Amino acid sequence: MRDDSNKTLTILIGGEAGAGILLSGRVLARVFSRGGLYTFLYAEYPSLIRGGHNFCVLTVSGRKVYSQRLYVDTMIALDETTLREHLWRLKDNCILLVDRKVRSENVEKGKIRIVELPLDQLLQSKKLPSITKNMIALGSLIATLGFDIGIMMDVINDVFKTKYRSENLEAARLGYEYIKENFKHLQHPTLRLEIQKRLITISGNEAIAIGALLGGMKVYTAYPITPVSSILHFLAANQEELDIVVVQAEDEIAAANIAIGAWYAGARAVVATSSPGFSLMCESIGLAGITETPLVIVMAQRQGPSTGLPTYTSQGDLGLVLQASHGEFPKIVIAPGDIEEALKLTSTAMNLAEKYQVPVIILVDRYLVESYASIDYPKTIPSLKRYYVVEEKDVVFKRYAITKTGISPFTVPGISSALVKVNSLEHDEYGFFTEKEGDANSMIEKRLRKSRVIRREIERANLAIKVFGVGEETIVSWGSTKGPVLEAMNILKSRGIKMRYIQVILLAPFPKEKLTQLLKHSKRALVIENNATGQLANLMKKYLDIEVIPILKYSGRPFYPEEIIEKIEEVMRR
Amino acid sequence: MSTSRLRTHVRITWCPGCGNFVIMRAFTRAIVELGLKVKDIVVVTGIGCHGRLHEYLRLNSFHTIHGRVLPLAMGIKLANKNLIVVGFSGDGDAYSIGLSHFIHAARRNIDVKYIVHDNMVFGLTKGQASPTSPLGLRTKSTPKGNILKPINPIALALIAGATFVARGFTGDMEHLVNVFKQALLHRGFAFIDILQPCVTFYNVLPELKNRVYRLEDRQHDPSNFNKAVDRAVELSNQIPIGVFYKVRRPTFEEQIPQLKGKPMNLRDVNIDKILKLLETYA
Repeated sequence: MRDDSNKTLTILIGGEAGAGILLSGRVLARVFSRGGLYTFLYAEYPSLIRGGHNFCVLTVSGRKVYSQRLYVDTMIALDETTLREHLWRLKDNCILLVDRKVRSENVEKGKIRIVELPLDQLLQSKKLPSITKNMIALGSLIATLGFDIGIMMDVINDVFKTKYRSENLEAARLGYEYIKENFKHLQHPTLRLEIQKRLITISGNEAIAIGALLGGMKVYTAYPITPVSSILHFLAANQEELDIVVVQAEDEIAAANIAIGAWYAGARAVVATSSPGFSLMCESIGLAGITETPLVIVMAQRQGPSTGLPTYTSQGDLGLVLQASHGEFPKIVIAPGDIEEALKLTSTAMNLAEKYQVPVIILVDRYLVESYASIDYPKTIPSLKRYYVVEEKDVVFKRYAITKTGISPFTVPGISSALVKVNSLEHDEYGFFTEKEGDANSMIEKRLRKSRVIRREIERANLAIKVFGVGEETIVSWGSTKGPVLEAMNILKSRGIKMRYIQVILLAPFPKEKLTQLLKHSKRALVIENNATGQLANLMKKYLDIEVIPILKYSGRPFYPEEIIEKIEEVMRR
Repeated sequence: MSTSRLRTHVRITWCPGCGNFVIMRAFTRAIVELGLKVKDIVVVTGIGCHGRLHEYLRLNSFHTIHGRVLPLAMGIKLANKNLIVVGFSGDGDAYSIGLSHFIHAARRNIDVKYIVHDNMVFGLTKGQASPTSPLGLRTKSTPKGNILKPINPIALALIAGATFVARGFTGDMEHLVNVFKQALLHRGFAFIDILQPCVTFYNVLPELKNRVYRLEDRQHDPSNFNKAVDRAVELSNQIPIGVFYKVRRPTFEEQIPQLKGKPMNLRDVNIDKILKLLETYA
């Protein structure tokens, strides 16, 4: 099968949970990234503390990498499960670095170059603790690639602040030298390093946290939940330095309400959660909706229903998020498609929330937030705008003034003599309860009018929809499926097949006119989603008059680009 | 300033004789007598008859959803620690749907005042049993009499770590004003459970009048935690009112170094620091 694999390198590392598999992936990603190469790291782990099987897949290239690949150039197997579950992914002529303890006699030797690593003996030779095994393997891997060990030493130095730093450094060197001495003949097709590039390697969660900070977040509040807890850890550890307050709330309901209280009083606040927590936050979203209090919720979907597959990804909650909370009111739902976009759009979301005084949901998923990617160090920082006014008169502020756009002047209590009254009951322009039919109608209509303005302005800022490539067939998707779709297009391009890809970022208010226009001349659209019912596909069927073909995956695992190609070819053969 | 300056134009719709009138009057009197700045006060109300206070008080206010007064109040306080944040709840709001927030607010000792209108029955939903309904009380949801042991809010607040715990009674206005004043001056989580009648569904005013006594009349020492617990759980027909317990402990805000100085809502973003942090991800 022809592809672009001469331009990419994919490494799979597998072992028992607790063996430092995910950490190895991160160290390696940073090594390549410091060498000026782009990386994407995907990891899978079961929902337990110890035991079970962990693995991660790292794809590296001289150009931006949007997702992991299915087929693997190099594999590090620290347990038998890795061989059992992933051996089929190895390409011809690849390198398999395997712990000598692991039984590998079933591996077909003709196609695969096996390098047995005597990890236990190597550990004993230097009296190293067994937790440094993974670093021996990483050092070996670096040697097989013909890279210098220097960058890796630097990365280990930075990652291990104090604990086991020298042991890990020694282990990596040990593995490196073992290959240099014993496998001189190993020549691996390798990528050239381009040190002049300035890249950082961050996870989706870190990108979101940084986006929120750049967007002026002053309060972060959350209840621990997979897969967003690392936002809480990251911000809690750096809160003093960053001049923000981090609160671990007693539950998701409290977290959302703390955030609403903070916004009401003028401090930008963010709350992050996953699907089960989001279900609990629905009532707060309605509160933000009727009180027109800004609110930013990061919602990283995981596989449900209920507790479901807690550590696995999903796009199964689009419908829930669009309809979150009872009643009819505008909200903004934006779905970043990759880690770089997650950073930028989270920061934008903070301005959108305050400007339009609506709840904003950043809809991501476990795949996006727990994967890592190399991104360019941001050169431009989006400007921070504040939208509140200061009314000096001693009056009850007309917080819900009826306006043409539906957006009323926004102010906060305590900064002037004006009093700010907000109400979860239907209310008049001053925030006082009203049940009058006319008042109710005009307030409901005022709020809903905002949708039009929001949609128009977000479309104008080119944040609603992005189009990639040209071609007769059109792929449509939202959120993290963007990565595998773009990589599938890269592979297809190397085979001479061109396709167009439409990424829907703004999901509410839904950009139906814009999407209709883009698909005017298309006879059909292939809609790729990580769910079982085709939730965007269904929305499109409602709004558009073309054939919509859903391509779905709902096992809790993300799409691999190779799988997307297979599915597309299947449709094209029909 | 007179208390009438703290009233809006909105007509009051509570039942005549409702304890809420007394609570509102006592609260506005406490504000006036302490000379607090109106613009610095924010009132948060929940769902229930008490919630309408939002309409009647000419103060910054947030009428929120059922049970969520405390987390909302906490968010306001974190955004602007200079505000005096006063949460009002009913016994359903505070002890049924919002109970866990109550315990955690007490633990945190966030500098928020929490006033619970405790009439021992759900009023706005037309008369069902509440967590403080006495055993045997016949309500629409307990037609044969309540079989659940009522919650003891005072004991609960003490055990949860509240630093100011008091009980008020709408039959004793002067006493209530005094309790409010002490609560407003307290730094930390100040909790007042106020016994009041629901004139429509559970009118216990005459009975309560016979049973309450003032703690200060019995030489109660509010700095003694064990004595406070004893009073809170004492088994007698009599009901103590007043301040059970008062202690100065660092508040949540005081323990967060970055909250020192300007309120959070007015602070700028330090872009350089964020970018510097990003550099560590190279």
